[in-house]
Amino acid sequence: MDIFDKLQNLDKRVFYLLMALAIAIPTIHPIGLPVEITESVREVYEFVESLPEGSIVVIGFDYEPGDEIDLNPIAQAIFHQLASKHIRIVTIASFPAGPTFADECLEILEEYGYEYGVDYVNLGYYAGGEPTLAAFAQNPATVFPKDWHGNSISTLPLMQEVKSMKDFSMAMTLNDGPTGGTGTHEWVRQAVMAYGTPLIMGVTGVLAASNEPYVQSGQCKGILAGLRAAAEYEKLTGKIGTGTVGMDAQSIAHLLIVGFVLLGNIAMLVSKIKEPKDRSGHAGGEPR
Amino acid sequence: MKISTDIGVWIGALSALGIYSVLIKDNPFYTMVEHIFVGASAGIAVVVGINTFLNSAWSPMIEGKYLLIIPILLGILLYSRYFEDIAWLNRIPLSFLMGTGAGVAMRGAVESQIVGQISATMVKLTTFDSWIIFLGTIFSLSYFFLTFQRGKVTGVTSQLGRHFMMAAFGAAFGNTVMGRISAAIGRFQFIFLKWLGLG
Repeated sequence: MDIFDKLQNLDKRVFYLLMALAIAIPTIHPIGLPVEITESVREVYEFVESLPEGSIVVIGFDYEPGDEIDLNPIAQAIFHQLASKHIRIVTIASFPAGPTFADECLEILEEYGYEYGVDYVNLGYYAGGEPTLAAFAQNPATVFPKDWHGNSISTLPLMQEVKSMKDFSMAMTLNDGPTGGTGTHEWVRQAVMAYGTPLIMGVTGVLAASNEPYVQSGQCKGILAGLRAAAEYEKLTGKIGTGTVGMDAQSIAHLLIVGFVLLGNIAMLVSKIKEPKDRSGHAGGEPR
Repeated sequence: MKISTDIGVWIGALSALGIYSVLIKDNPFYTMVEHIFVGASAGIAVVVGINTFLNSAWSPMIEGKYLLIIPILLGILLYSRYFEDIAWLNRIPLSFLMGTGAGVAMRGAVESQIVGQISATMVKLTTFDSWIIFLGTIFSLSYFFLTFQRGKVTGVTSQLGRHFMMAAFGAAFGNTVMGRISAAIGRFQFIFLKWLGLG
């Protein structure tokens, strides 16, 4: 067995170990690799910058704990920008864990002097997916008679200004897919198509490609995809957070994967060339 | 190095290590953590479900919104499936759910997912990107012309459509890998920074 055969039959635990090191080392000792800002992220930033000061936005925390690392940094980066313009924030969630993430991210608003109920509200979790989102869009009070902390919605000054989706100058969904919660398609239908409220999306990397057509068609103002977009956004806002910290590990892990994909393919090609050919001229031997 | 003294952080970190231990081989520690995860998730879902019911239906109803009794009764009927004699009753709320779900989804679906997307492919062919969108759409659609024998031209266009789709799948897979790595980064940050206090 030569080196190429050994590479093709490498114990997967070796790869796991190398991957763990590739993530662990830059996490403990950040290298500070440069982060370039892409056009799509800049477009979202500029759109948020164009929102009128003091306006109200709604942000959906539509993700499960597994995708916290992708989407929490995006939420925090956006909150910094919104708060710097004193834009007021209403959060909702279609996953049970969503309101907890919302609370965690909303904490950063304290440094801007935001007051709960006046400048921001966490309405909490809603069951039922798209029909409930549609009901919320029509009249938030029917879906949320109380907020996540048990306050009656009628006692919250901010909610007195919100009668329907039309009262939001922007909607945003932080989304990891429609399974169990409200997906991005549902937001497009209920916020953009029904009320004309501009929508931006913060999605996991997996969802970026499938939602790009909405940007192309103008139905979505922009997409922030994954940790990389969070890092870029942090650079734009000047507030460095977990997105930037994670990018060193992300870059090195990607290099490792690319390296292994190349090595694996080279090893496979070399092995095929070396294999004895049968009478028909095809590479022979036992199937792998 | 400053190890966390928060019991919640310890439980989270040990659970993460338990889940990762399956990468070496299946073991009782992994199985235990997996079962705890399933149980805890179910428990949280029950609590959140009850709270949602109390906040959205029960409390408003006893405060005077008596019409809410209708959805509450429909909700109760969902559980009739556990009783053979009256199991048919659960079709009533299910039909209602399916009907309202479909109706609400149809509200913007035609415009957002058909008209809007077709209009988006009608672009001015002045840039390389717009040509890619235009040709990618035509070629990919031609791949799905299955009702007649492919000739020379349609054979080439469907083959090109296949390549366009492969490129799209590659982009989607690359993003998927990025997402999975991000998830691992999140756990590593939690273990090394929040739990062990390194870095």
